Amino acid sequence: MSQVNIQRSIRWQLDNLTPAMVSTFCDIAELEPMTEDEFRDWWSDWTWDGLDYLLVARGESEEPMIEIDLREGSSLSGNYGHAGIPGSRGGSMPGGGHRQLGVGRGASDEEKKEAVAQRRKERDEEEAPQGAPSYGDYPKDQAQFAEWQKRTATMAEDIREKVLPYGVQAEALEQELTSAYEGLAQAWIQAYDQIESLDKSASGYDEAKAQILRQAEEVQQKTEQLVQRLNRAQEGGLAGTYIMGAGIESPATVTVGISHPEGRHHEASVRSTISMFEARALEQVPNVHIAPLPEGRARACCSGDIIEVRRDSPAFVIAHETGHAIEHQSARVATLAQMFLEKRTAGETAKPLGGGYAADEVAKPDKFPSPYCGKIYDRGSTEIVSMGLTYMSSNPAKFAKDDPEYFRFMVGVMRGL
Amino acid sequence: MITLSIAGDEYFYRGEWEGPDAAIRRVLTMLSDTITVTPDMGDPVYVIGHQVAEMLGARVISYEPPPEVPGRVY
Repeated sequence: MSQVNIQRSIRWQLDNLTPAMVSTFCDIAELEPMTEDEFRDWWSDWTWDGLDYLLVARGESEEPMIEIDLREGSSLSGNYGHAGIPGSRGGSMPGGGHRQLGVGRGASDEEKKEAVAQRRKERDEEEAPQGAPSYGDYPKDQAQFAEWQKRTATMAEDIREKVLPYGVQAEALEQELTSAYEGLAQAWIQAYDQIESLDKSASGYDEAKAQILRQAEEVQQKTEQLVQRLNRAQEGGLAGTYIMGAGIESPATVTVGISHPEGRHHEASVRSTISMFEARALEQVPNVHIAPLPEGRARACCSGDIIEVRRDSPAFVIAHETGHAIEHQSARVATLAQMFLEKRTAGETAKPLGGGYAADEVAKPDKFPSPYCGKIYDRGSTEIVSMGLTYMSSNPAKFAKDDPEYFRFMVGVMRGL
Repeated sequence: MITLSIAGDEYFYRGEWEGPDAAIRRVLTMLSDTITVTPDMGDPVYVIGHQVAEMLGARVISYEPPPEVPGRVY
Protein backbone atom coordinates (compact mmCIF):
# COMPACT_ATOMS: atom_id res chain seq x y z
CA MET A 1 0.00 0.00 0.00
CA SER A 2 1.55 3.28 -1.06
CA GLN A 3 1.76 6.27 1.19
CA VAL A 4 -0.64 8.21 -1.05
CA ASN A 5 -3.22 5.41 -0.91
CA ILE A 6 -2.91 5.21 2.84
CA GLN A 7 -3.44 8.92 3.16
CA ARG A 8 -6.54 8.68 0.93
CA SER A 9 -7.71 5.81 3.07
CA ILE A 10 -7.28 7.85 6.23
CA ARG A 11 -9.38 10.68 4.80
CA TRP A 12 -12.04 8.21 3.75
CA GLN A 13 -12.04 6.57 7.18
CA LEU A 14 -12.37 9.92 8.90
CA ASP A 15 -15.31 10.88 6.68
CA ASN A 16 -17.11 7.63 7.52
CA LEU A 17 -16.59 7.39 11.26
CA THR A 18 -19.28 5.85 13.44
CA PRO A 19 -19.57 6.08 17.26
CA ALA A 20 -18.85 2.32 17.45
CA MET A 21 -15.61 2.73 15.50
CA VAL A 22 -14.41 5.57 17.71
CA SER A 23 -15.30 3.63 20.83
CA THR A 24 -13.43 0.52 19.64
CA PHE A 25 -10.47 2.58 18.58
CA CYS A 26 -10.25 4.32 21.96
CA ASP A 27 -10.39 0.93 23.69
CA ILE A 28 -7.59 -0.49 21.56
CA ALA A 29 -5.41 2.61 21.83
CA GLU A 30 -6.19 2.93 25.52
CA LEU A 31 -7.53 6.44 25.13
CA GLU A 32 -10.27 8.17 27.02
CA PRO A 33 -13.65 7.89 25.24
CA MET A 34 -14.18 10.57 22.60
CA THR A 35 -16.98 11.79 20.40
CA GLU A 36 -16.53 11.55 16.64
CA ASP A 37 -15.69 15.26 16.41
CA GLU A 38 -13.15 15.01 19.19
CA PHE A 39 -11.70 11.99 17.46
CA ARG A 40 -11.35 13.87 14.14
CA ASP A 41 -9.67 16.71 16.00
CA TRP A 42 -7.33 14.29 17.75
CA TRP A 43 -6.61 12.55 14.49
CA SER A 44 -5.49 15.79 12.87
CA ASP A 45 -2.19 14.86 14.45
CA TRP A 46 -2.49 11.51 12.69
CA THR A 47 -0.31 8.44 12.88
CA TRP A 48 0.48 5.41 10.75
CA ASP A 49 -0.01 2.88 13.47
CA GLY A 50 -3.16 4.74 14.39
CA LEU A 51 -4.47 3.79 10.97
CA ASP A 52 -3.87 0.17 11.76
CA TYR A 53 -5.88 0.51 14.92
CA LEU A 54 -8.64 2.18 12.95
CA LEU A 55 -8.75 -0.64 10.39
CA VAL A 56 -8.89 -3.20 13.19
CA ALA A 57 -11.65 -1.17 14.81
CA ARG A 58 -13.62 -1.27 11.56
CA GLY A 59 -13.18 -5.03 11.43
CA GLU A 60 -11.29 -4.77 8.13
CA SER A 61 -8.11 -6.23 9.46
CA GLU A 62 -7.24 -8.50 12.32
CA GLU A 63 -3.52 -7.85 12.10
CA PRO A 64 -1.71 -4.59 11.49
CA MET A 65 -1.49 -4.06 7.72
CA ILE A 66 1.47 -1.76 7.69
CA GLU A 67 4.93 -2.66 8.75
CA ILE A 68 5.78 0.18 11.03
CA ASP A 69 9.34 1.43 11.15
CA LEU A 70 9.00 4.37 13.45
CA ARG A 71 11.88 6.68 14.08
CA GLU A 72 11.81 9.43 16.57
CA GLY A 73 12.29 12.98 15.40
CA SER A 74 15.54 14.41 16.66
CA SER A 75 15.88 17.08 19.26
CA LEU A 76 16.84 19.31 16.36
CA SER A 77 13.78 18.50 14.26
CA GLY A 78 10.40 20.06 14.53
CA ASN A 79 9.01 16.64 15.37
CA TYR A 80 10.73 15.91 18.61
CA GLY A 81 8.43 14.09 20.97
CA HIS A 82 6.82 12.48 17.92
CA ALA A 83 7.47 9.23 16.22
CA GLY A 84 8.35 9.16 12.54
CA ILE A 85 6.49 7.80 9.56
CA PRO A 86 8.08 5.14 7.39
CA GLY A 87 10.64 6.64 5.06
CA SER A 88 10.17 10.09 6.44
CA ARG A 89 9.71 11.95 9.66
CA GLY A 90 6.81 13.48 11.51
CA GLY A 91 3.56 12.31 12.96
CA SER A 92 3.03 11.32 16.57
CA MET A 93 2.30 8.21 18.52
CA PRO A 94 -1.27 7.20 19.37
CA GLY A 95 -2.15 8.97 22.50
CA GLY A 96 0.75 11.30 21.75
CA GLY A 97 0.76 15.02 21.14
CA HIS A 98 -0.56 17.36 23.77
CA ARG A 99 -2.45 14.64 25.66
CA GLN A 100 0.59 12.51 26.25
CA LEU A 101 2.65 15.51 27.18
CA GLY A 102 0.07 16.55 29.72
CA VAL A 103 -0.59 20.01 28.36
CA GLY A 104 -3.97 21.35 27.35
CA ARG A 105 -4.90 22.48 23.86
CA GLY A 106 -4.77 26.08 24.97
CA ALA A 107 -1.21 25.82 26.29
CA SER A 108 1.26 28.40 25.06
CA ASP A 109 4.13 27.47 22.76
CA GLU A 110 6.51 27.97 25.66
CA GLU A 111 4.53 25.52 27.83
CA LYS A 112 4.45 22.98 25.01
CA LYS A 113 8.22 23.28 24.45
CA GLU A 114 8.84 22.82 28.14
CA ALA A 115 6.60 19.75 28.20
CA VAL A 116 8.44 18.29 25.19
CA ALA A 117 11.81 18.91 26.87
CA GLN A 118 10.61 17.23 30.05
CA ARG A 119 9.24 14.26 28.11
CA ARG A 120 12.50 14.00 26.20
CA LYS A 121 14.51 13.88 29.41
CA GLU A 122 12.23 11.21 30.86
CA ARG A 123 12.40 9.11 27.71
CA ASP A 124 16.20 9.41 27.47
CA GLU A 125 16.38 8.08 30.99
CA GLU A 126 13.90 5.28 30.27
CA GLU A 127 15.44 4.18 26.98
CA ALA A 128 19.16 4.72 27.56
CA PRO A 129 21.02 1.44 26.97
CA GLN A 130 22.57 0.01 30.08
CA GLY A 131 25.95 1.57 30.75
CA ALA A 132 25.45 4.27 28.12
CA PRO A 133 26.41 7.82 28.95
CA SER A 134 23.74 10.32 29.75
CA TYR A 135 24.03 12.91 27.02
CA GLY A 136 23.32 15.72 29.39
CA ASP A 137 26.47 14.74 31.25
CA TYR A 138 29.20 14.64 28.64
CA PRO A 139 32.21 16.86 29.44
CA LYS A 140 31.43 20.55 29.32
CA ASP A 141 34.76 21.94 30.47
CA GLN A 142 38.40 20.97 30.44
CA ALA A 143 38.36 19.57 33.98
CA GLN A 144 35.49 17.22 33.09
CA PHE A 145 37.19 16.40 29.82
CA ALA A 146 40.38 15.40 31.62
CA GLU A 147 38.28 13.08 33.80
CA TRP A 148 36.62 11.64 30.70
CA GLN A 149 40.00 10.97 29.11
CA LYS A 150 41.18 9.17 32.22
CA ARG A 151 37.99 7.12 32.40
CA THR A 152 38.19 6.05 28.75
CA ALA A 153 41.95 5.48 28.61
CA THR A 154 42.05 1.82 29.62
CA MET A 155 39.60 0.51 27.05
CA ALA A 156 40.94 2.80 24.33
CA GLU A 157 44.52 1.72 24.99
CA ASP A 158 43.47 -1.92 24.83
CA ILE A 159 42.13 -1.35 21.31
CA ARG A 160 45.23 0.65 20.35
CA GLU A 161 47.50 -2.22 21.30
CA LYS A 162 45.48 -4.63 19.17
CA VAL A 163 45.67 -2.34 16.13
CA LEU A 164 49.33 -1.31 16.40
CA PRO A 165 50.94 -4.36 14.68
CA TYR A 166 49.34 -3.47 11.33
CA GLY A 167 50.50 -0.95 8.79
CA VAL A 168 54.15 -0.41 9.77
CA GLN A 169 55.43 -1.70 6.43
CA ALA A 170 53.34 0.85 4.58
CA GLU A 171 55.05 3.66 6.43
CA ALA A 172 58.52 2.54 5.28
CA LEU A 173 57.28 2.16 1.71
CA GLU A 174 55.84 5.67 1.72
CA GLN A 175 59.29 7.07 2.50
CA GLU A 176 60.83 4.92 -0.21
CA LEU A 177 58.25 6.13 -2.66
CA THR A 178 59.02 9.78 -1.96
CA SER A 179 62.64 9.16 -3.02
CA ALA A 180 61.44 7.19 -6.02
CA TYR A 181 59.29 10.10 -7.22
CA GLU A 182 62.31 12.39 -7.06
CA GLY A 183 64.36 9.84 -9.01
CA LEU A 184 61.61 9.64 -11.58
CA ALA A 185 61.52 13.37 -12.04
CA GLN A 186 65.29 13.46 -12.50
CA ALA A 187 65.15 10.60 -14.99
CA TRP A 188 62.74 12.49 -17.21
CA ILE A 189 64.70 15.75 -16.95
CA GLN A 190 67.87 13.95 -17.99
CA ALA A 191 66.06 12.17 -20.78
CA TYR A 192 64.74 15.38 -22.30
CA ASP A 193 68.10 17.13 -21.82
CA GLN A 194 69.85 14.27 -23.64
CA ILE A 195 67.32 14.30 -26.47
CA GLU A 196 67.76 18.06 -26.85
CA SER A 197 71.51 17.58 -27.20
CA LEU A 198 71.17 14.99 -29.96
CA ASP A 199 71.84 15.96 -33.56
CA LYS A 200 68.44 15.64 -35.20
CA SER A 201 69.94 15.34 -38.65
CA ALA A 202 72.20 12.41 -37.65
CA SER A 203 71.30 8.98 -39.04
CA GLY A 204 70.85 7.26 -35.67
CA TYR A 205 68.72 10.05 -34.12
CA ASP A 206 65.44 8.13 -33.86
CA GLU A 207 67.08 5.06 -32.38
CA ALA A 208 69.11 7.12 -29.87
CA LYS A 209 65.98 9.04 -28.84
CA ALA A 210 64.01 5.82 -28.37
CA GLN A 211 66.82 4.37 -26.26
CA ILE A 212 66.86 7.43 -23.99
CA LEU A 213 63.08 7.31 -23.56
CA ARG A 214 63.20 3.57 -22.79
CA GLN A 215 65.62 4.21 -19.94
CA ALA A 216 63.29 6.79 -18.42
CA GLU A 217 60.33 4.44 -18.95
CA GLU A 218 62.18 1.76 -16.95
CA VAL A 219 62.55 4.14 -14.01
CA GLN A 220 58.86 4.94 -14.31
CA GLN A 221 57.91 1.26 -14.31
CA LYS A 222 59.96 0.65 -11.15
CA THR A 223 58.21 3.56 -9.49
CA GLU A 224 54.83 2.20 -10.51
CA GLN A 225 55.74 -1.20 -9.05
CA LEU A 226 56.61 0.53 -5.80
CA VAL A 227 53.21 2.22 -5.83
CA GLN A 228 51.58 -1.19 -6.24
CA ARG A 229 53.58 -2.57 -3.30
CA LEU A 230 52.51 0.38 -1.21
CA ASN A 231 48.87 -0.20 -2.15
CA ARG A 232 49.14 -3.81 -1.01
CA ALA A 233 50.85 -2.79 2.23
CA GLN A 234 48.11 -0.25 2.88
CA GLU A 235 45.55 -2.98 2.40
CA GLY A 236 47.39 -4.83 5.17
CA GLY A 237 47.09 -1.70 7.24
CA LEU A 238 43.39 -1.77 6.61
CA ALA A 239 43.21 -4.99 8.57
CA GLY A 240 43.34 -2.67 11.55
CA THR A 241 39.98 -1.24 10.56
CA TYR A 242 38.41 -4.64 11.09
CA ILE A 243 39.76 -4.64 14.61
CA MET A 244 38.26 -1.19 15.04
CA GLY A 245 34.89 -2.76 14.28
CA ALA A 246 35.41 -5.75 16.55
CA GLY A 247 33.68 -5.81 19.89
CA ILE A 248 31.08 -3.20 19.03
CA GLU A 249 27.90 -4.19 20.85
CA SER A 250 25.35 -2.31 18.78
CA PRO A 251 26.68 -0.51 15.68
CA ALA A 252 25.19 2.87 14.91
CA THR A 253 23.04 3.19 11.82
CA VAL A 254 22.56 6.04 9.39
CA THR A 255 19.87 7.36 7.08
CA VAL A 256 21.53 7.87 3.70
CA GLY A 257 20.18 10.18 1.03
CA ILE A 258 21.55 10.15 -2.51
CA SER A 259 20.89 12.97 -4.95
CA HIS A 260 22.85 11.60 -7.88
CA PRO A 261 23.12 8.02 -9.21
CA GLU A 262 26.90 8.07 -8.81
CA GLY A 263 26.44 8.72 -5.11
CA ARG A 264 25.35 5.09 -4.72
CA HIS A 265 29.01 4.08 -4.99
CA HIS A 266 29.67 5.87 -1.72
CA GLU A 267 26.72 4.62 0.31
CA ALA A 268 28.66 1.60 1.60
CA SER A 269 31.51 3.82 2.74
CA VAL A 270 29.12 6.06 4.66
CA ARG A 271 27.47 3.06 6.33
CA SER A 272 30.82 1.45 7.07
CA THR A 273 32.08 4.66 8.72
CA ILE A 274 29.00 4.99 10.89
CA SER A 275 29.15 1.31 11.86
CA MET A 276 32.48 1.98 13.58
CA PHE A 277 30.42 3.92 16.15
CA GLU A 278 28.41 2.33 18.91
CA ALA A 279 24.77 3.40 18.56
CA ARG A 280 24.95 4.89 22.04
CA ALA A 281 27.74 7.25 20.92
CA LEU A 282 25.28 9.31 18.89
CA GLU A 283 22.16 10.95 20.24
CA GLN A 284 20.18 10.10 17.13
CA VAL A 285 20.38 8.21 13.86
CA PRO A 286 22.38 10.64 11.72
CA ASN A 287 21.45 11.69 8.19
CA VAL A 288 24.06 11.80 5.46
CA HIS A 289 23.10 13.06 2.03
CA ILE A 290 25.58 12.27 -0.74
CA ALA A 291 25.81 14.92 -3.46
CA PRO A 292 28.24 15.45 -6.34
CA LEU A 293 30.98 18.00 -6.01
CA PRO A 294 30.15 21.14 -8.01
CA GLU A 295 32.05 21.47 -11.25
CA GLY A 296 35.44 23.09 -11.01
CA ARG A 297 36.07 22.24 -7.36
CA ALA A 298 38.58 19.59 -6.39
CA ARG A 299 38.05 19.50 -2.61
CA ALA A 300 35.30 17.42 -1.11
CA CYS A 301 33.27 19.31 1.47
CA CYS A 302 30.30 19.11 3.80
CA SER A 303 27.46 21.46 4.61
CA GLY A 304 25.17 20.32 7.42
CA ASP A 305 24.27 16.75 6.56
CA ILE A 306 25.14 17.09 2.87
CA ILE A 307 28.51 15.76 1.77
CA GLU A 308 29.76 16.85 -1.64
CA VAL A 309 32.26 14.37 -3.00
CA ARG A 310 33.83 13.37 -6.26
CA ARG A 311 32.60 10.24 -7.95
CA ASP A 312 36.02 8.65 -7.45
CA SER A 313 36.68 9.93 -3.96
CA PRO A 314 38.32 7.13 -1.99
CA ALA A 315 36.58 5.61 1.01
CA PHE A 316 38.58 7.58 3.55
CA VAL A 317 37.48 10.85 1.96
CA ILE A 318 33.88 9.72 2.37
CA ALA A 319 34.72 8.82 5.99
CA HIS A 320 36.19 12.30 6.44
CA GLU A 321 33.13 14.12 5.16
CA THR A 322 30.81 11.77 7.05
CA GLY A 323 32.75 12.83 10.16
CA HIS A 324 31.72 16.44 9.52
CA ALA A 325 28.09 15.39 9.13
CA ILE A 326 28.26 13.48 12.43
CA GLU A 327 29.87 16.39 14.24
CA HIS A 328 27.17 18.66 12.86
CA GLN A 329 24.36 16.44 14.17
CA SER A 330 25.75 15.25 17.49
CA ALA A 331 26.23 17.75 20.31
CA ARG A 332 28.17 15.07 22.20
CA VAL A 333 30.65 14.47 19.41
CA ALA A 334 30.98 18.17 18.56
CA THR A 335 31.61 19.13 22.17
CA LEU A 336 34.18 16.40 22.71
CA ALA A 337 35.97 17.45 19.51
CA GLN A 338 36.08 21.09 20.62
CA MET A 339 37.38 20.03 24.05
CA PHE A 340 40.11 17.92 22.50
CA LEU A 341 41.17 20.64 20.06
CA GLU A 342 41.18 23.19 22.85
CA LYS A 343 43.28 20.97 25.10
CA ARG A 344 45.82 20.03 22.46
CA THR A 345 46.31 23.53 21.09
CA ALA A 346 46.21 25.52 24.33
CA GLY A 347 48.48 28.55 24.09
CA GLU A 348 49.04 28.18 20.35
CA THR A 349 48.39 30.91 17.82
CA ALA A 350 46.51 30.06 14.65
CA LYS A 351 48.63 30.24 11.51
CA PRO A 352 47.66 30.21 7.83
CA LEU A 353 47.70 26.70 6.39
CA GLY A 354 49.35 28.20 3.31
CA GLY A 355 50.00 26.11 0.22
CA GLY A 356 46.83 25.17 -1.59
CA TYR A 357 44.58 26.75 1.01
CA ALA A 358 42.78 30.05 0.92
CA ALA A 359 44.42 32.87 2.86
CA ASP A 360 41.80 32.77 5.62
CA GLU A 361 42.22 29.03 6.29
CA VAL A 362 44.16 28.86 9.55
CA ALA A 363 45.15 26.13 12.00
CA LYS A 364 46.85 25.49 15.30
CA PRO A 365 49.09 22.63 14.20
CA ASP A 366 50.11 21.19 17.61
CA LYS A 367 51.84 17.86 16.97
CA PHE A 368 48.88 16.41 15.12
CA PRO A 369 49.62 13.91 12.33
CA SER A 370 48.67 16.76 9.99
CA PRO A 371 48.45 20.49 10.84
CA TYR A 372 45.04 20.34 9.18
CA CYS A 373 43.68 18.51 12.25
CA GLY A 374 44.03 21.79 14.13
CA LYS A 375 42.12 23.86 11.58
CA ILE A 376 40.03 26.62 13.13
CA TYR A 377 36.59 27.43 11.77
CA ASP A 378 34.58 30.54 12.66
CA ARG A 379 31.52 28.67 13.84
CA GLY A 380 33.11 26.10 16.14
CA SER A 381 33.35 23.23 13.65
CA THR A 382 36.59 21.26 13.80
CA GLU A 383 38.53 18.78 11.71
CA ILE A 384 39.17 16.59 14.76
CA VAL A 385 36.53 13.91 14.13
CA SER A 386 36.86 14.07 10.34
CA MET A 387 40.63 13.67 10.34
CA GLY A 388 40.36 11.02 13.05
CA LEU A 389 37.94 9.05 10.87
CA THR A 390 40.20 9.56 7.87
CA TYR A 391 43.03 7.84 9.75
CA MET A 392 40.76 5.22 11.30
CA SER A 393 39.40 4.21 7.91
CA SER A 394 42.69 4.28 6.00
CA ASN A 395 45.45 3.14 8.34
CA PRO A 396 44.42 2.98 11.99
CA ALA A 397 47.69 1.26 12.92
CA LYS A 398 49.74 4.21 11.72
CA PHE A 399 47.34 6.55 13.52
CA ALA A 400 47.69 4.53 16.73
CA LYS A 401 51.48 4.81 16.46
CA ASP A 402 51.72 8.45 15.34
CA ASP A 403 49.36 10.02 17.87
CA PRO A 404 48.31 7.69 20.72
CA GLU A 405 46.30 10.34 22.57
CA TYR A 406 44.32 11.30 19.47
CA PHE A 407 43.71 7.61 18.69
CA ARG A 408 42.43 6.94 22.22
CA PHE A 409 40.23 10.05 22.01
CA MET A 410 38.63 8.75 18.80
CA VAL A 411 38.00 5.34 20.38
CA GLY A 412 36.29 7.05 23.31
CA VAL A 413 34.14 9.13 20.96
CA MET A 414 33.22 6.22 18.70
CA ARG A 415 32.53 3.71 21.45
CA GLY A 416 30.31 6.11 23.37
CA LEU A 417 32.49 5.85 26.44
CA MET B 1 48.91 26.56 -18.12
CA ILE B 2 48.99 22.85 -17.40
CA THR B 3 46.07 20.46 -17.28
CA LEU B 4 46.14 18.09 -14.34
CA SER B 5 44.17 14.87 -14.32
CA ILE B 6 43.00 13.48 -10.98
CA ALA B 7 41.22 10.15 -11.07
CA GLY B 8 40.03 10.70 -14.60
CA ASP B 9 38.80 14.28 -14.23
CA GLU B 10 40.80 17.11 -15.64
CA TYR B 11 41.52 20.29 -13.73
CA PHE B 12 43.43 23.31 -14.81
CA TYR B 13 46.41 24.04 -12.73
CA ARG B 14 45.71 27.67 -12.06
CA GLY B 15 49.32 28.68 -12.08
CA GLU B 16 52.12 29.45 -14.43
CA TRP B 17 55.30 27.48 -14.71
CA GLU B 18 58.83 28.11 -15.65
CA GLY B 19 60.79 24.93 -16.29
CA PRO B 20 61.16 21.87 -18.52
CA ASP B 21 57.60 21.64 -19.75
CA ALA B 22 57.66 18.18 -21.33
CA ALA B 23 59.18 16.60 -18.21
CA ILE B 24 56.64 18.35 -16.01
CA ARG B 25 53.79 16.98 -18.06
CA ARG B 26 55.19 13.47 -17.96
CA VAL B 27 55.73 13.37 -14.21
CA LEU B 28 52.52 15.23 -13.52
CA THR B 29 50.54 12.55 -15.29
CA MET B 30 52.24 9.81 -13.30
CA LEU B 31 51.85 11.55 -9.98
CA SER B 32 48.25 12.64 -10.45
CA ASP B 33 47.27 9.04 -10.97
CA THR B 34 49.28 7.63 -8.09
CA ILE B 35 49.32 10.23 -5.35
CA THR B 36 46.36 9.75 -3.07
CA VAL B 37 44.50 12.98 -2.66
CA THR B 38 43.77 13.33 1.04
CA PRO B 39 41.30 15.75 2.63
CA ASP B 40 44.07 17.64 4.38
CA MET B 41 45.93 18.42 1.18
CA GLY B 42 44.16 21.65 0.46
CA ASP B 43 43.66 22.05 -3.25
CA PRO B 44 45.05 18.78 -4.67
CA VAL B 45 45.69 20.48 -7.96
CA TYR B 46 48.03 22.85 -6.18
CA VAL B 47 49.70 20.13 -4.14
CA ILE B 48 50.50 17.82 -7.02
CA GLY B 49 51.46 20.68 -9.28
CA HIS B 50 53.85 22.12 -6.74
CA GLN B 51 55.27 18.74 -5.85
CA VAL B 52 56.22 18.24 -9.46
CA ALA B 53 57.61 21.74 -9.72
CA GLU B 54 59.80 21.18 -6.68
CA MET B 55 61.11 17.87 -7.95
CA LEU B 56 61.99 19.29 -11.31
CA GLY B 57 63.49 22.48 -10.03
CA ALA B 58 60.79 24.38 -11.86
CA ARG B 59 59.65 27.73 -10.55
CA VAL B 60 56.03 28.47 -9.86
CA ILE B 61 55.36 32.01 -11.01
CA SER B 62 51.80 32.34 -9.74
CA TYR B 63 49.05 30.36 -8.20
CA GLU B 64 45.54 31.26 -7.14
CA PRO B 65 43.73 28.83 -4.77
CA PRO B 66 40.01 28.35 -5.26
CA PRO B 67 38.00 30.40 -2.74
CA GLU B 68 36.41 28.64 0.21
CA VAL B 69 32.66 28.32 0.03
CA PRO B 70 31.07 29.95 3.11
CA GLY B 71 29.39 27.50 5.44
CA ARG B 72 31.27 24.50 4.09
CA VAL B 73 33.72 22.43 6.05
CA TYR B 74 36.38 20.49 4.19
